[in-house]
Amino acid sequence: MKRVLVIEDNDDNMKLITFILEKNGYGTIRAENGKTGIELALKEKPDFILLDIQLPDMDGTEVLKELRKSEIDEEVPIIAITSYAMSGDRERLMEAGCNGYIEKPIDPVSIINQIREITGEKP
Amino acid sequence: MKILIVDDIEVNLELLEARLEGSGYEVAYARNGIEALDKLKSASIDMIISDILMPRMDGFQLCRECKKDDTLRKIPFMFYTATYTDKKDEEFALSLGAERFLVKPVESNRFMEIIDGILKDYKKGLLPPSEMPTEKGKAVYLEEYNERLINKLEKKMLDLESKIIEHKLAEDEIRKLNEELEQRVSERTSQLNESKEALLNLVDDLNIASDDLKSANERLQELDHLKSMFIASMSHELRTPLNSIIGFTGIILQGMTGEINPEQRNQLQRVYGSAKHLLALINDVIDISKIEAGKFEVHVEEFSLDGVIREAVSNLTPEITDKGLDLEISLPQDTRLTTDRKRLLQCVLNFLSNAVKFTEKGEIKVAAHEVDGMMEIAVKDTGIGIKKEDLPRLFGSFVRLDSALTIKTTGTGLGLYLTRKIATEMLGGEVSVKSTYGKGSTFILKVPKEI
Repeated sequence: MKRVLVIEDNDDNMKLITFILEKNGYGTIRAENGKTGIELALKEKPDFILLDIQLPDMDGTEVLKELRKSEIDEEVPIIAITSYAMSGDRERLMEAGCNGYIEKPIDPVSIINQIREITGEKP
Repeated sequence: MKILIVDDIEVNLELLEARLEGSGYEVAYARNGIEALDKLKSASIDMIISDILMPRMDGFQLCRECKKDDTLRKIPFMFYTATYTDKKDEEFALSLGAERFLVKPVESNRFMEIIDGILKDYKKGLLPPSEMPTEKGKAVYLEEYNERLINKLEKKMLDLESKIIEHKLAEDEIRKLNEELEQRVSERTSQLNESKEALLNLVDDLNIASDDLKSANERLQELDHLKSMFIASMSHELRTPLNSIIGFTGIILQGMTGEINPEQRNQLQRVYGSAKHLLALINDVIDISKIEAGKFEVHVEEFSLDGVIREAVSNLTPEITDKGLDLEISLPQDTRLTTDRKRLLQCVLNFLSNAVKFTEKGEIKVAAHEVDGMMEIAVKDTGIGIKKEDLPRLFGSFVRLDSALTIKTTGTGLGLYLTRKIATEMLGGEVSVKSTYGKGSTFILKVPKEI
């Protein structure tokens, strides 16, 4: 079973994302802020990371940069979750080292396809 | 006929000369008695017209000399003078043998009649026999002559005195006028000074007003910034719960939480649709407020036209299929654009979703072609069309035209307004529409290929 680290401060979103992931056969690790997210990423070594870019303690881009600087395998995909992202956010996030992004609102059907497309998994 | 004019004043000579020449007479002139006698000796003269008071030899003496001379005696001699006041002057003049004594002014025609009459009589020899004037004796003559002369000089002096008085009066008048002028100049100057003062005050007022405006402007900018902040934070706050609603209803609709009955599905679909609509509305409002505040960013990238159109179409494929509409896409090959892809997609998507919304049967056609470095993308439908009178307000904000489909279709009333804003203010292009009511519409987006 692939394990996904979800870094998301909003309780509803966390529940929604992890529910969909678990329904689709993923294991989930949860972090409510950037700092915990980075710690858990190092400790749990997930297969990929879903990262909300609006976090209470750190800017999502900073978390991305920290993660990429850390000892985590650079092959681990990081997917940003953005809220009605402007085109500019996408460029900024890609530069900071993320592999793709998913826009809110989360669509329960397409989110899995989007994730698989970014991580390169076969359905 | 030649007439000799004797007068010491140039102007009088000229006036008389003009008058006589104008009536066909030749004119000779002399400035005093001596000169006149010389002229009489050298030229043939038919009449003498003389003033009385002149330097060197006056008119009386000239007359006396003429009438003493055998040759000159017969030439008519007329006094023409302005300085006459005494009746005795005329008597004395006639006693010297003068033919006529005229006092100025004489009306022009009358004057010429007199001259003509005298000369006619002279030619016909009708003038009184030219005799030596009756000598009253030298003493009597001199006495009379002196008296006349003294009278004349007194008169002259009186004239001069009255002229001096006139001059003085005129001088006084001028002085008064000068004073008045000075007074007016000083009044005007003080008025100007007052005006200047008023202007300076006005400038001060304007400066104060300008400062007020500046600080008002600063306050407005602060408020505008606050508004932007408010919208940015509100948009996040509003969207977070909506995302939750959309997400969870989506999960239930997908059957991830177990089977739901058709009634539950129908009702949940309404929740889902309303939430999506609300989200679209919020997103439109945010976009518009950003554009109106000039706070938008244009993200330019290179991409294929084909990709954008396909993405827009694929977004609406379910609805197009549901309604059974035909779809035709006609694009130039391998066209690449350099502009804001996301915004262009938003515009095309807007046109396309409108076309699908308002078309019940027939086809939707998306066609693009290049015109002078501009990419023209037209979305044509066979839908309900738009009334001619509604076309001008179509691209305004919160415009939803009444139609049979208005109730059935959802819309924010901001779509076309936002599309126009994006096209004109972000992409440097324009939007337009052609429509026949009841037959269909064509919406055209025209943007530069390279921004």
